[in-house]
Amino acid sequence: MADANAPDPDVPPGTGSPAARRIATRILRWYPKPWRARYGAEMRALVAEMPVAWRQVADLAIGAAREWVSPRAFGWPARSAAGRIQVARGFKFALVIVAFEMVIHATVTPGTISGIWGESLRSACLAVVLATIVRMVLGFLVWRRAWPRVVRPRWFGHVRSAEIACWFLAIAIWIVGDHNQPVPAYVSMPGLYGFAHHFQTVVWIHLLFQFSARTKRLQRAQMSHTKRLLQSRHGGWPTV
Amino acid sequence: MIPPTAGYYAFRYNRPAVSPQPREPFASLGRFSEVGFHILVALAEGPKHGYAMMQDIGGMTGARPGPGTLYAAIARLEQRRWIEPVASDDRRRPYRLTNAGRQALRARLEAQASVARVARTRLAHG
Repeated sequence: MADANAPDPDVPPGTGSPAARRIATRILRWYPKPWRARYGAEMRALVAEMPVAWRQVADLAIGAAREWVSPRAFGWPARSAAGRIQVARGFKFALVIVAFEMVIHATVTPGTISGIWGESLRSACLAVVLATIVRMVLGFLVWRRAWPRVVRPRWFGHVRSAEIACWFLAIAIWIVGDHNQPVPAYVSMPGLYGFAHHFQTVVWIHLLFQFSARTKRLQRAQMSHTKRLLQSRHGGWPTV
Repeated sequence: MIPPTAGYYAFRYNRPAVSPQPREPFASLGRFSEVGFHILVALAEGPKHGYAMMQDIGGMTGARPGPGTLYAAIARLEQRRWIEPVASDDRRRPYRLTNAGRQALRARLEAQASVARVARTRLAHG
């Protein structure tokens, strides 16, 4: 056992790129605070001991990003598991949206940054407003039992009625008011502009619904949090 | 004082979990199942710290996991109580296998052995 814990004689400590080791040590600071409090010293010792190449630097950077968006181990900063799930989803949502906008604008509307982000913001506002209004209206109808339960095929089951309604509204808004707007000068592919704009809004709506859906995992986490809360404050479930 | 959300969660979501636990315990580790398995194998010999685990896994498989991957897997194994840290004055904290970890490792090895047996038989007859 002592042999297993001894450093490997084939790989003397200190080998690898010094720049990579320096950057790897710096990347350790990118991990969430609870993670650093628990594993920071060990990981620093590991990075000081092992031969560090650029592959290990990339591994650490990916690991840091993963822990920020992962609610499993050390999701930051909420205290409950449910909160951690929601925070992690928020991060994921932001990452996906930024990546999506970059792809759309790199292909269809490369040009001024302010124009690009102005367009994106417009789509985002429309998506948020539509999602909020439609959810409230449909929530009210479901509550009043005035909205039928629509059975959809399994592969389409994750798309909610409210989301479908949002899509139709977005398309209606686009048909009525948007397509006659002049195409801005910075757009490099004017033929695709209208479609891209509409597609962007639909994707925003879809992602909003996906990332704010109350999944089974989130439900369980909320449930156990509420149970713990009630247990600690009232000694059990409230009697109604 | 009952929190206002309590009644909502209590009555809306008071039902048993519908998704059963995965049969294979390592499946819940997701992308870390392979590294997690290798860590458990490394710790089956005795307590080891991160670098020793990395070297042992490198010797077993020919590829060392990166530090980010290794500690992500360690965190998830520790969360499942399959491994636990050993008190040490050194900065390099050693970990050891728990009884639950030993059981999980044994289950995984048995599953692999049965697959290997079937594969060997099929190769022999095919």
